[in-house]
Amino acid sequence: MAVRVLLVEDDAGVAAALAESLHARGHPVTSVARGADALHRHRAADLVLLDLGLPDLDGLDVLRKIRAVSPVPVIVLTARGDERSVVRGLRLGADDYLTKPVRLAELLARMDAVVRRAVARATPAGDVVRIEDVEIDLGARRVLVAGHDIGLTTKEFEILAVLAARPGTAVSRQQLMDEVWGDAYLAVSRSLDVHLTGLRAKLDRPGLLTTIRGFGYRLGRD
Amino acid sequence: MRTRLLVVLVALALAVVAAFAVPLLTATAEQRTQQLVISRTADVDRFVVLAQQAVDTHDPAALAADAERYAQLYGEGVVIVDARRLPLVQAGDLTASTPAVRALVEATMRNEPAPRVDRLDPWSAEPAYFARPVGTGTRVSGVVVLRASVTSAAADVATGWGTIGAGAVLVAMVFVLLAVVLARWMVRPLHELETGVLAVAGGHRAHVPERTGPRELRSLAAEVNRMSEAVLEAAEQQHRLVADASHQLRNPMAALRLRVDSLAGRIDGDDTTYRATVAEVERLEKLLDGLLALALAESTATRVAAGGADEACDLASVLAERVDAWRPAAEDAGSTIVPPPGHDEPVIVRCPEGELAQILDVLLDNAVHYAGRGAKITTDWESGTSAATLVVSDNGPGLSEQDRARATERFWRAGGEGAPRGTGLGLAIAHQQVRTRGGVLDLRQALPHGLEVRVTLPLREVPG
Repeated sequence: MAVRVLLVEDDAGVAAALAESLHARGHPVTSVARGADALHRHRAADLVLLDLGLPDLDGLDVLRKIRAVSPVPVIVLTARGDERSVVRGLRLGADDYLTKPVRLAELLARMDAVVRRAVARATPAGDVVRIEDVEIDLGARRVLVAGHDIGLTTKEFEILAVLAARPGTAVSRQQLMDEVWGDAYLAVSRSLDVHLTGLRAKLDRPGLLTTIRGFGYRLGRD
Repeated sequence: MRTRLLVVLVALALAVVAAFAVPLLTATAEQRTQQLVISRTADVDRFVVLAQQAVDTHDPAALAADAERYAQLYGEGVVIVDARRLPLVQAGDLTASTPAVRALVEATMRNEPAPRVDRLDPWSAEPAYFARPVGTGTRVSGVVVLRASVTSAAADVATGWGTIGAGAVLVAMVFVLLAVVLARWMVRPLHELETGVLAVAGGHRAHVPERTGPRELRSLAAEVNRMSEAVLEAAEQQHRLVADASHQLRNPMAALRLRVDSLAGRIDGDDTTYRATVAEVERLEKLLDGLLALALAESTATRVAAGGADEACDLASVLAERVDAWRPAAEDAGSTIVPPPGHDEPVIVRCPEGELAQILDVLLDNAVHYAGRGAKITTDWESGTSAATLVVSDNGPGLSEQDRARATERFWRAGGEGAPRGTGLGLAIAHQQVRTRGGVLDLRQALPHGLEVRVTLPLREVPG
C-alpha cells in the first residue's frame, strides 16, 4: 500500500536519504523544511514524519496545530531522545515517536502500524482480541495464553482489557488509572506498578507488554 | 584549631586578670592595716600624754576615768603601768599580769620598738598590741599598752577582697566571652571555606559566605566561590560540548543509517564489506548514544547536588519490567534470565524510573552478552531500612579482580581494546547515574563463578 508521506525535516541530508529510501519502497514523499509549510500541506498526506528541530517553529507546536484540525497520523522523528520530549510528543497526539538515527526497517514497520491503526480506528475492536498466542475475551473476562486460562485477578484483567481495547497504541498511565480505578492518586499509581508486574509474570510473554517510559504502556510488540 | 585558640586566649585573659587582682588585694589589706595602726598609735599617744600628767600630779583618777571610757567605747583593753611596773590603770579586761602585756612592758622599758602589726587578712583574729613608753628621753616613767581588736578591720578587708574578687570574675568572664567570640569569628569562616572546598571537590557549587570573618578570609572566600564557579562552568561546558556534539551528529548518523539500510536491497545479502559497514555504523550509533547518556548523567549529578529533583520509582516493578523486556534477547543469546520474586508492597527508591531502567539495561545487556551461551542470569532485590539493593548476577566466566576495579571506567571493555562489541560506556554511565542518586554500584565475584552486580539506592522516606 502506497502511503503519501509528508516529510517535515530541515536537515537536507536526512531529508534526501529518507525521501529516497521511502520512494524506493513505493511511498510518494513530499519534503518540506519549514513548520509553516507543514501546516499548509498536511491535508494531502496519509502520514506526517515530523522533525522537532525546525528553523521557524518548534516541532511540538506544529504537532499541536495539526492535531487541532486533523487526525492524520503523525510520527515524530527527531534527534531529541530525552524522556520529556518523547512524553510531550505523545501527549500532544503523536502516534509514534522515533529517535534518530533510526533503522529503515523499523521506520517502515512503525509507519505501517500507524497507518493500519488509523484505518482500523473507525471500526471498534471486537469482543475477543488476539495478539500472538494471547487471546483476550473481553466479554467473558478470560485470558488464554497458548490455549490455557492464566487466571488473572480482577484488577489485572481490567488493566489488560484497557490495553487490549487499543492494541498497538500507547495508553497513558493516567488513562489506565482513570478507567480501572476511576481515580489517579499516588497510592493507586504504585498499586498499578504492582499489578502490572503480576500481569507480566502471568502472561509470561516477554516484551508483549511494553513500558513507554514516563508515559504509559502498549500491548503488542514494536 | 578552635579549641587551641580558645585555650590560649582564655589562659592569657585569666593571667592578665590575676596580674591585676593579686597586687590589688595586697594593697587593700595593707591600706586597712595602716589605717588601724595610725588610729591606734594616735590613741596610745594621747594616753601617754595623760599618763605623764598623772605621773607628774600623782593623781591617776582622771586617767583611769578616761581609759575606762575608752575601753567601754571601743571594747579594747588599756593598761598603764608606772616606772616600778605597778599598774596605774587597767581598763577593759586587760591586766598587767597577762604574760603578753608583761613582755611588752619589759621590752618598752628597755626602749625597744613596739612589734610590727602583721598585715591583716579577712581571717585575722589575733588582737594587735600597741605599747609606748611614758616620759621623755631616757627617763621612762611608765608604759601604755593598748590591745586593739582587729575584727572590724578584718571585716573591712574581707569586704574589699570580695569586691575585688567579684570584679575580677566579671572581667574574666567578659574576657572569656570575648575570646569565644573572637575564636568563632576567626574559625567559622575557615570551616565554611573547608565546606566550600569540599563541595568543589565533590563537583558541587561552593557557597562560602563572603561577609563574615577577618578581611583576609573574606577575600579568600570570594576567591573560593569564584573558583567554584569556574570549575563548574568548565565541567558544564565539557558536558555541553559532549551533549551538543553527539546531538549534532545524530542527523548525519541518521542519513548514513538510512542510506546504508537502503543499500541492503541492492547488495548481495552476504557481502562481507556491507555487513562490516553496517556493524561499524551500529557501533558509531551506540558510541554516540553512550556519550550523550554519560554527558546527561554527569550534568544531572550537578543538578541533583544543587538540590533538585526528588523523583522516585518502584524498584521491584522496574526490575520486573526490564527483565521482561530483556528475556527475548537473552533467549537469542542462549542464556536465561530468572525473573525477580513477586512483590505486594512497592519498594520506592530515590531514582527516576527512566534512570533506573537505563541502569538495569546496562546490567542486563552486559549479563546477556558476556555471560555466554547457557548462562543463567539471576535478578533479585533486597530491601533494608534506608536502602534497597538490586542484584544482577550471572554464572558466566566473570571478571578478574583488576578488571572489576576498572570496569566502571570510561571506554574500558572486557577483552581489552578491539573487543568485538560494546562502547565501554555502559557501566561508566550506570556508575555515574547510581552515584548521582546517592547510591553505590558494586561489582563482585559470584560464587562459584560469574559476576554479581549490586546496586544500592537510598529508599525514599515514607512521608508522615
